[in-house]
Amino acid sequence: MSRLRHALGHLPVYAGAFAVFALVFVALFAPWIAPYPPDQLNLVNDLAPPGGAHWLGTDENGADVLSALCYGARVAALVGLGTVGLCMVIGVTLGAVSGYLGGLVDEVLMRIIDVLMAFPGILLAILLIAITREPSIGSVILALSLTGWAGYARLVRGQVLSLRERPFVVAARSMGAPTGWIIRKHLVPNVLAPVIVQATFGIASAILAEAGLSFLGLGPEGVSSWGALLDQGARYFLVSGHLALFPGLAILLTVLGINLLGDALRDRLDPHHDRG
Amino acid sequence: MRRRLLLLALPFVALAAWGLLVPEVAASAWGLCRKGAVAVALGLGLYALGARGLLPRFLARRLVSLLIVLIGASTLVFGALRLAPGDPVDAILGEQASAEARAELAQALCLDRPLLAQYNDCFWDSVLDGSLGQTFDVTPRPVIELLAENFPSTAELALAGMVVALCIAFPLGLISALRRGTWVDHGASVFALLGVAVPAFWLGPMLLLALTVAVDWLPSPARTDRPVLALILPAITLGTALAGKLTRMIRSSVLEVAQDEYVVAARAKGLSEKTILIKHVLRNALIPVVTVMGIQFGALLTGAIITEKVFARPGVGTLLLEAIQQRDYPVVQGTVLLIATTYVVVNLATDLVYVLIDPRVRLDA
Repeated sequence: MSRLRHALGHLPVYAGAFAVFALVFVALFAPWIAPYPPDQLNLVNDLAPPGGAHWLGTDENGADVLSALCYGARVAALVGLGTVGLCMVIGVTLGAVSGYLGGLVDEVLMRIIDVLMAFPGILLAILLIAITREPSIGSVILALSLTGWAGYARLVRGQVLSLRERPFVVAARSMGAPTGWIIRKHLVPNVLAPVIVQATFGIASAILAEAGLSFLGLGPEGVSSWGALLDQGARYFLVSGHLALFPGLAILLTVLGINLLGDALRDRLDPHHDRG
Repeated sequence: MRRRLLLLALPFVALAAWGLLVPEVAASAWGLCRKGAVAVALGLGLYALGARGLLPRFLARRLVSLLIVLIGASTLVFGALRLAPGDPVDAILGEQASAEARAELAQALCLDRPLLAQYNDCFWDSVLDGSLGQTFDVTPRPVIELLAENFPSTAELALAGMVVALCIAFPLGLISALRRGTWVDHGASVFALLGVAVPAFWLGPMLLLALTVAVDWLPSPARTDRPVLALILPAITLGTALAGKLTRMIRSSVLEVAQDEYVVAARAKGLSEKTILIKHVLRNALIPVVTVMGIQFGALLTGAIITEKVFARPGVGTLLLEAIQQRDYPVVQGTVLLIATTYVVVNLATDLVYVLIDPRVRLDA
């Protein structure tokens, strides 16, 4: 019984890891997994319900929904990983430098971070994409990263402030180690655990944000993003509910899985956090 | 302190240098210096009031940071619209437009002037005179009028979303903390996880399909003759994500406080469980929850943009999307400014409420 309980306790972790693995796998191998090319239209067979040759049905142009979702996984994975990667690089670097150097640099950076964190990020993204002509996946990543890095920087800075006076850092400094080396070798590795936890949740919220932007018609152009599929599907939802149902489920399950994984990572990596 | 004063002087030195080097923006640089001086005087004055004890010190500090954040956020909005790639004139008129039309539009948009002049004469002057610029219509109107017409509907939606979130999260979080490990607790966890992950733009249509089309329990949100009932579906759509977050938050917060020594002491003293729960546990457990609610109100305002689109509800979000489609930059800028300002001010208000319910915060301010 206790064994079963133990296994059940780990169920969310496995489910989360599976969802993330599935997303990456489908994104990488979309052309082989998708049963039809994404742009193959078949106007005779439009709005077909799920089943038979088209497992998840077809859209208003007769394109296969499952195939579109497979290619949509690429957009989600790229935006999720790209945004978080960019935010992490900028945030960790600036946060570590700011916390370690202190002084005027710290003062200025902290004010900038105050402003960025006070600003609703998705709103700035809406603004930026709205004025970009033909936004690409890259523009969406940039727009979401513009405010996204601030959270990482503040997190890292706080950690570095407490690490800065620890004996091993003081020792390195007193032996004449260069600042850049101390930041790279001593500070950054020691602050990575909470950053990784935050990054995991960051991937989920970037995917949700991209889907939201695409739903508003402000997503990357020329690709089948889940949010855009949902937007198109919602127009037909009284006649063919499946068009809106499946992209939404894809978003829901992906975000749910990543969040579950994040919870598990937090319990593992961040001993200070209350487990509730 | 000296370092901070140096920091304050820096922008003024930069402005003076800019004005001296580029004579055509000298007037704008001077105007900006004067506005900056007023802001600095305001900030220093607030600090002085705080130091003399005429104003609670924490309030003075928060007001000063509010000032900084508002100026920074406005500058961000200005910068985003100006520095983005692509010429707005091209975007509005297309590339085949005549040079005359282009020049006229550039002038109306204030794009034919140097950056500093755009920032001072066009941006700040229109913000400070309260009009937020003129719309881009055949008959131009002050942007503020459009916002005033549309904001109440959005605020109503955001508040209703908050109420829905609280009505779900408060009992659910509390019960799952008190009945930890039972099926109620597990159910609440599942709900919380799903609530956070479900996209509002999917939940909305699905709820509509289920509750209005399939079983006709609720009137269509498009019906204007029953405004309260029509608000229910959009409010649930908007509030679910926050309900998920708050449920988790309230649960872990109550659990944490319940282990504290003063709760044990209260129990040892023989107080009834009800008194302990209400007077000791809840009062302290709700402090972090209030903060999260304040921060999340901004998320609700931006989330309202999506919810308004789902239900075709009028409001600031719909206004913003229409303005984006028509490339009406002054309206886009004004809307974003309004939402950002509301967000920042609500955060300040949260901080103040925080002090009211937790006197300990005042000490470290």
